[in-house]
Amino acid sequence: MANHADLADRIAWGRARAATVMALVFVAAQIGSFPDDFPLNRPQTLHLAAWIVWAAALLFFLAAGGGLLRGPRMRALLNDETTIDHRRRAMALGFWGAIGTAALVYGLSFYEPISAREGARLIITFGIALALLRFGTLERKALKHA
Amino acid sequence: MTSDIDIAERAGRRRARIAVASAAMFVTTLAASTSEQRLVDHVRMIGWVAWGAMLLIVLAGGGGWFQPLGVRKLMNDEVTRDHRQRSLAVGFWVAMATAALTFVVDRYKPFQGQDAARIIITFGIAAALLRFGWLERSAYRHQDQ
Repeated sequence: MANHADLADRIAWGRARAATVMALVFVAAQIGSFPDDFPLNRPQTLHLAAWIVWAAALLFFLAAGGGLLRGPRMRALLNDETTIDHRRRAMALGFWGAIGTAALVYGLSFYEPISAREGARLIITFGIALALLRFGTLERKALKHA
Repeated sequence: MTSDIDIAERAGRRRARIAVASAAMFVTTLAASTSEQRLVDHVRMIGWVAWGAMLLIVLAGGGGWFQPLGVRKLMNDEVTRDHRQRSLAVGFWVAMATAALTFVVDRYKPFQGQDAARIIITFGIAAALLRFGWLERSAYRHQDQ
């Protein structure tokens, strides 16, 4: 059991660090790809496809919390009550991030034409990034405290 | 103190009902929030923005601002705060799903980012409010049994 707990602790630390890094890299990677007016050229298409896969993977990470290949016992250790609470709080901040970005897109579109696709991309990107950042911060704090 | 508890419970039940009704009404007014150039459209748009902001304040703070501090604290106890976190998480998923949908639809039928933002805000807030109202009502129903 001690081995399991140690391993879960190491994985949780890795997950917390990964969440923060992934959030920052996810936002940074989008900076060069706006705007993406159709028709897209080949690199733009690849970039967009990568963004879709990446966003879906991060949302899956936020929902499931990782440890999927490590068995139910390890998964239970990795996703205890505290982590579930952290995930909820992270998603709550993701909600505020998404709504805040949407409000910004709404306001900006009065001065600068923004397509629905670009608006949706911004909202998804910042919503996910904020949720991941919050999750990483909460998890690291809790692990440090432990 | 008992009186404070009674007032908080009545206000909490009312808040749950208002949350569900506001969510439904907010979605139905989506069509009325277009930003055309007529004066009436501007008024509608401002109304929609103000209403959206008010619903967000309710989601963030829990309402009951006209109640005494003790009642407000009782209205926003640990259970309600947990319900709020859960409802915001639902709002997050609905906002993400709606954004993904607008992203796909724009590929076939292009439309403005302003409309996408309106749709995402509307469904995100409505989903969070509905969930909050639902959780609160379930808790009160459970308490009654």
